[in-house]
Amino acid sequence: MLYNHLLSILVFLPLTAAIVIALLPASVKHISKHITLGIGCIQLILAVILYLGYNSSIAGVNTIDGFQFAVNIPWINLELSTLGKLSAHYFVGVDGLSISMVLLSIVILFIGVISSWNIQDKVKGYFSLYLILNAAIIGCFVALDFLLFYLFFEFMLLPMYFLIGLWGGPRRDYASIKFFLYTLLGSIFILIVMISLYLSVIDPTATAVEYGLADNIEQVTPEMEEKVQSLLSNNQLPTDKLVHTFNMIHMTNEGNYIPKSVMDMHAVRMILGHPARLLAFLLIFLGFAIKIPVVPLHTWLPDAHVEAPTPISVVLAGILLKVGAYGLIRTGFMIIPDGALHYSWWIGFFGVLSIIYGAMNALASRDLKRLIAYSSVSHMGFVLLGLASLTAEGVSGAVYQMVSHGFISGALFLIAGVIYDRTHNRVIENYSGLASQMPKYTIFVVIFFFASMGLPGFSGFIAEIFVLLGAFSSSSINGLVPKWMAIIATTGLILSAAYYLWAIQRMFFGKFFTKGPVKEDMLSDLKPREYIMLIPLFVFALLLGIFPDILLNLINQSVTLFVDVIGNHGFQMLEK
Amino acid sequence: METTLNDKLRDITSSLSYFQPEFVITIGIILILIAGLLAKSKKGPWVQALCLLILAITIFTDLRQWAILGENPQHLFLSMLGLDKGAVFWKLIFGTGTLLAVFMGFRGSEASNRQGEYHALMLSVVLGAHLLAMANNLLMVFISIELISISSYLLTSFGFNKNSTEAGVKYLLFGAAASGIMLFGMSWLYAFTGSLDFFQPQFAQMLMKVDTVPLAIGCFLVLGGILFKISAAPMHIWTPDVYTSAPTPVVAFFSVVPKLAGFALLVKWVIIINLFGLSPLNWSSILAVIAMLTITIGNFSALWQKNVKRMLAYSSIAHSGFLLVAMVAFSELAMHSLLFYAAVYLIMNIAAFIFVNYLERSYGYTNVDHYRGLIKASIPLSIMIIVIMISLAGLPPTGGFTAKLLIFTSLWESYSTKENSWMLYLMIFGLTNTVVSLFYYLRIPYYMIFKAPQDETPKNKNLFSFENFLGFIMVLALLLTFFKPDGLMRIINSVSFAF
Repeated sequence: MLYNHLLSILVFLPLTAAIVIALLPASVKHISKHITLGIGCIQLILAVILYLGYNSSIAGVNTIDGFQFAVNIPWINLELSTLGKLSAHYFVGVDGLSISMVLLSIVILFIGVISSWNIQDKVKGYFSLYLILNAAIIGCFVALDFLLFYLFFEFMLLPMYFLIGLWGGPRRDYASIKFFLYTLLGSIFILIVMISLYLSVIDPTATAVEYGLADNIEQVTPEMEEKVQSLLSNNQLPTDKLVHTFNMIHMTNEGNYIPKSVMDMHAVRMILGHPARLLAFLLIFLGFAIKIPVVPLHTWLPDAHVEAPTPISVVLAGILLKVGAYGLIRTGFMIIPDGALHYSWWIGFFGVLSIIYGAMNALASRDLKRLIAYSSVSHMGFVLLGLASLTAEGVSGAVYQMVSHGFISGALFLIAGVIYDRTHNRVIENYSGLASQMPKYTIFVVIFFFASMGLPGFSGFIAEIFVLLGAFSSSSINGLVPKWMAIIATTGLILSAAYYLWAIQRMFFGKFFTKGPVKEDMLSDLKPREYIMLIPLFVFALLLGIFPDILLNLINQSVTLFVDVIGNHGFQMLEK
Repeated sequence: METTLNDKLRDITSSLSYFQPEFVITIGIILILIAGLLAKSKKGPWVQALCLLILAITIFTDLRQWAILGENPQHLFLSMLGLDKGAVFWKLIFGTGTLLAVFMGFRGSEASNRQGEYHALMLSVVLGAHLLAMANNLLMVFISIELISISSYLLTSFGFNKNSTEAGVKYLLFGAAASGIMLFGMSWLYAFTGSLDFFQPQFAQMLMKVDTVPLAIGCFLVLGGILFKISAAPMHIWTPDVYTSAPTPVVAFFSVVPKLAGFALLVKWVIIINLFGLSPLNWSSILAVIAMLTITIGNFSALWQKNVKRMLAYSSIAHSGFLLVAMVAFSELAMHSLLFYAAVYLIMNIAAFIFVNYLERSYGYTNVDHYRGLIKASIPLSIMIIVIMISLAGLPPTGGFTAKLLIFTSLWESYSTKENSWMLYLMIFGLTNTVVSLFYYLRIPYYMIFKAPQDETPKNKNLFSFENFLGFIMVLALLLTFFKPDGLMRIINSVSFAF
């Protein structure tokens, strides 16, 4: 019972709580943060149940039965006259790729609540929006129906817009609308692909019922589905009996594509002289690249980060960027593997470009938070590079990097928040020799800076080493990513060491003094609440750095199958 | 085919039983005029109630028509009118739209002694729209359009101030020119075919024999008149002025009833001028260009507007463009999507105007700038306005998204069968325009929530009015049309279109 509805509870619990908080009378509005914290605690407990109940030997990825904790209920059924039926399901479930993201989100969102503890202004609004954001994020990671995914994906924008725009820094208006419009533009590209996909794909089970092979869904056997698929490929199914589906798993199955439809895998359609599937991949890549973000589509990120309040920065860097990467994996790579292979050089190239360009910008940043924001751009580049290589190491590394960067970047933004809370100033050159004034803070800064630059013993090291291994071996295994990209990516590591060490040297070492608006008496050391936030992140970064098997076991089966499916399947299709 | 006078008379009498809704409205107009004369000032609500009652009966008789009509269209009054489920659906939309607009009431300095005229004029627009939805004859089309137009010119001036009168006169001049152009086009077509029954196959067969250039001129002239009614580019210029100056309930009414009546006609018109797909002109491409122009002009002009009603005027122009997308796709699915979009558009646009009207009436707010800090006055009100704006922009989880999804689905489907590149451009263009439109739709929530109030916090004035409750129901309907559009779509699916 609990197992079946675990994911739904994870999504709808915060949503309900958001409504409760919105309806709280003003006299007790101070308890809204306690409610939010309570929801976070429940989610943590559920996350533990989820982790313990997850069977990591089942891969998922492209088989419906392989998804665990799955719920699949019909949601929208529209008759589209001559076109047949449109069917969207409330379909949620997790596999190795998504469960790691769900667990990461719950932890980061919980830490975000603690970090929001000092919010004084419009408390009710803040925490209800935060909970809506919470629901949308988890919904995004567990949705297996494209329409549902798209709903959650869009639904993240509005709370985020208000959270940045209402509780943000001085240029928050500009930053929040820029964030909104950029991401919306990306999701429009995704929408176009979504429409063309659902027009091209049928649900064999429901179609079997519609065609009269069975009376209801339960009676449909695999043989019937095969029969439907063979009828479909021979054009023997009348179009008004087709059930068009948003199911992302059906979309990965070649047999479910309607012959001569726009996204048909067998005989590729041309649009304006280009193969339709490759164009679709480009659009979907563009859409998610804005979210990841990939240079040169990243310009919203530094603004959003610099202006967002600390907890929102933590959520933004820790989770929202991963939504982009996860979406690219789940939809772009899985559904259009031929496109992924065809453009793998470019994906790798943009990955490397992000690594280097992000690092260069970080090096030039005068604002501590901007530095960390650009380092995020740089580190998300590794995710792209790992994905582009399409080797088991590379993809594992990419997923590993997503989790690792989630923890570490969250911590980094908390660190920037600590200093901002005290002085309302983040300009690096205004500080010097903080080590003598705030020794404990300095220890954490050094730890997380080192973790982020990929020091062995921390999770970032494992992730980046896997990505680089994948990138180096790719040219001999499948020839997707040339060696020079891997070599240049390595220099990214050196650059990241440079900007972090230089920042430490400028801010924390040397003689103690402060400049500008920063006064010496503002600088007090860490408070207990800040320890509560930083220590768990430190533990996770260290744990994943020393015992990588914790995460690798979780994702291994799925990643292997993912690489296998895309490698074999995609190459076959690309040849056509 | 010779018909005797006796046959004709029998045809007319048998048609009368299908004429109940129009009959009700006609009687209603007379009743309201009398009631308006009798009711002294301060009796205004009674006239309004009478008007609501008449509209309710009209909707009821429309619903009965829906129930008794079969698959085949009924030809009424010697084929002047044709009644099918499509026409009844449009009539239901007009009736509902007017009902909601009448609920908003008519208040103002001059309002007390003009209640009768105001409601009678509203009803005559509805009558015109009802007839237009069924018109199968060019003369009938012209009469219905004029009935709508002349009443609209008058209603525009019902603000009884300089701006309102000016807008009324402008509308009259533009409208008269547009009608003239349309009539001129009809005369060309009559000259080609010798018939006014434009919805007959013979009419199209005659047109096929006509050379391309004269045919194009004739069709374009009539099309121009229709584009004027639906305020599509390049015939949209009257819209902003009229919308800014007319009383807000009238604007809500204009943005739905006359515009959608234009679409009811346009559907038939495009079926005919397509000449069963044999037309030498590719109307899909032409309409695609018009749709792109309309969406762009609407959205980009709305960006700079400070007056809320003017902004919504441009937004309604952009929505005409989106409705035109269905005309470009032009398949059965597209027509169903068009009806779906029309229904959702009706809900969201009137809901928007209900709240604009409320704010204008209670606080005197007309500019976006006035909405500053409104959230301090009422959070529920702000949330409802946000949902409406999100729906107008076409984002989930609102009916606006489902409507856009369906309409672009039909376009995409048509593209994949007809391979007309203009459809592809329209698809990309229309969808990316959503981003532009979000910018101005978000401006209202932005001012409401992000900006501090100008003077002291606005006082919460009588939020719990019947109108606002109506608005609340409509917001729920917008959410429902996203989460469970099945029911509405099932109704629409029973409408069949002949191509």
